[in-house]
Amino acid sequence: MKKRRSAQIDFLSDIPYNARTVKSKIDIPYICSLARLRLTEEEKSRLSPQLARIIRWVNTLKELEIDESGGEALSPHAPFPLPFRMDELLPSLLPDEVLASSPEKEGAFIIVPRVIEDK
Amino acid sequence: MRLSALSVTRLLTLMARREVKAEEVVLSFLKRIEEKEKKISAYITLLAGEAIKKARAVDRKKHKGSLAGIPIALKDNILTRGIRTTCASRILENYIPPYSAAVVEKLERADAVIIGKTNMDEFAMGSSTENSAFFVTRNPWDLTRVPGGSSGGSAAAVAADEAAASLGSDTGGSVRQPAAFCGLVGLKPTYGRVSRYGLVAFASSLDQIGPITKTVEDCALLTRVIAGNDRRDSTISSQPVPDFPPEMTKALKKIKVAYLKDEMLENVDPEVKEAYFRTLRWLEDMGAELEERGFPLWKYALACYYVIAPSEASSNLARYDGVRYGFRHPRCPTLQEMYFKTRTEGFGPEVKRRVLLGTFALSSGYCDAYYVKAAQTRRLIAREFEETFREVDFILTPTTPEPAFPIGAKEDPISMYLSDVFTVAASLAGVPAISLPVGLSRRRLPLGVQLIGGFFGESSLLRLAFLLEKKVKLIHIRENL
Repeated sequence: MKKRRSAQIDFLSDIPYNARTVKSKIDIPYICSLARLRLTEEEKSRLSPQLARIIRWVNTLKELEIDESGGEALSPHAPFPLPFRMDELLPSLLPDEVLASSPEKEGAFIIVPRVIEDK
Repeated sequence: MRLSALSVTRLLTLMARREVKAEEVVLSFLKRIEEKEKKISAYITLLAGEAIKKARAVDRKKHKGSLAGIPIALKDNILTRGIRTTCASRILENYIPPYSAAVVEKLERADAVIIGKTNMDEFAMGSSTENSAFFVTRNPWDLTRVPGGSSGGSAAAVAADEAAASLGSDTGGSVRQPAAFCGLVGLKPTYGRVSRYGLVAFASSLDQIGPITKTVEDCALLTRVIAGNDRRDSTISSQPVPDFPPEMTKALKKIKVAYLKDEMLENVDPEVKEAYFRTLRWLEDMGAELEERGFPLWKYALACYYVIAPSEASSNLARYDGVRYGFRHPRCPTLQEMYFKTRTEGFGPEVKRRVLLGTFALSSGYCDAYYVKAAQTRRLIAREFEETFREVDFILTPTTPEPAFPIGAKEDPISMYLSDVFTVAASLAGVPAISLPVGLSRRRLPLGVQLIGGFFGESSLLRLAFLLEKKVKLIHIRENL
């Protein structure tokens, strides 16, 4: 059986580093939809060039040659072994206090707009 | 003698000798706040009534904690149970947390008095406190200038004697930079030294709570109280916490200090540079061996930071959806609309900018080029520090490229980001760093330097800072602010 590999990873790894990042223009409406944000026209015209400039500036990172075969791990460098602890049962937060900041609630429930649509 | 002008250490001595009561101390600070706050605007929420009540309780107590009766201000991203915590954001304007941060519990156990919650850049994103959704905080040294940020309210409160000390949070320089702008001592402890439980998350792999104080000794005292293991923070170290105040006064063995190559100081204000070289001469006088270093990777540190921090922020801030934290847009027919409208109205421009930047850096097709590349760069920077600290004990840098700048002077986001040019590298690597005041500019603006130490090297950082502090006597000048 053929080994299955992720199409996306193949796509990225077959292309030299610079080539796969040439497209650094941000698709603002798409990114906004991912971030659940809406921008006014005025905000869009101000933010687009700002973001583009920041991205150009951030692109200086590409100058850095990183030997990926060495496997520079993604996790931030921890200077110490992360601790383990016992999985103990402890008192939890009080429901009333947790719910106190909810904008709309009923009893022990938070009310949100309807998620099931009518047929 | 005005009590609010004194250091934490001095106040503790007076109270221990029963020369003054905690209530008198707190009242002195409240009086000062009444006089100064209109001009400075350091506080979002003032806790006058609670503070007096707590002070009276402390006065009645037989066995008092190590910060008994000391009025401390908290940056408003540190949760306080039952007390509004806003992060200076509309989206959390009415948020009442159901629990307190670990550092707040520790302060309370030490009998400190929480006197108020301070202004900040919204969600700690900024270097001037101008990004607060509520109001601008002014630098007590010059009211036309910013106090720095993002912990600007915490720094301004201490500089104006509106609090004896404060806590801020530092993600890329947010404790050190405002401390430098306000002539104070600010410590970013080693990542994992202080519990982040109850600190509203901005960039979790970088965030660290640190004290802002008038003296190095006060810094040691506060760090002693807030540091240490906490089962609720999974990235905390279980290393025992040294008793910093006595540790700080111990003699320092022969030390080697690395300083920056000239070309790294190219865009630094001449007076900041002058103060930096003066500090180097002091170190030399003290018998320290100096060594020039290039740090070739530092020029990538800011760009690296501005990928990693926004990426983590875009993920952390996804929780503000209008369901749990107070603010929800009133007209939301559908769930998606509720998310969009609540977030669009609740977040300010800088938060939106960073959330979008982070969303972009993590988005499919770009993640490898940006986030992964930045994470790799970060490892290299950390390794550069490791190698450096095999050969030297400390690194000395200016804390900021310039003294406090005028309000409104930096409208361009990148020029604002450049404020952190000397502080971000230590954040990325996770090592501790302290900013301390080393003089005033000709315009009477404080100038700061930053000492960076190796992992969990707070004791020796404080030791060297304590020695350097003896060369500078800013505290006397500050009384006239």
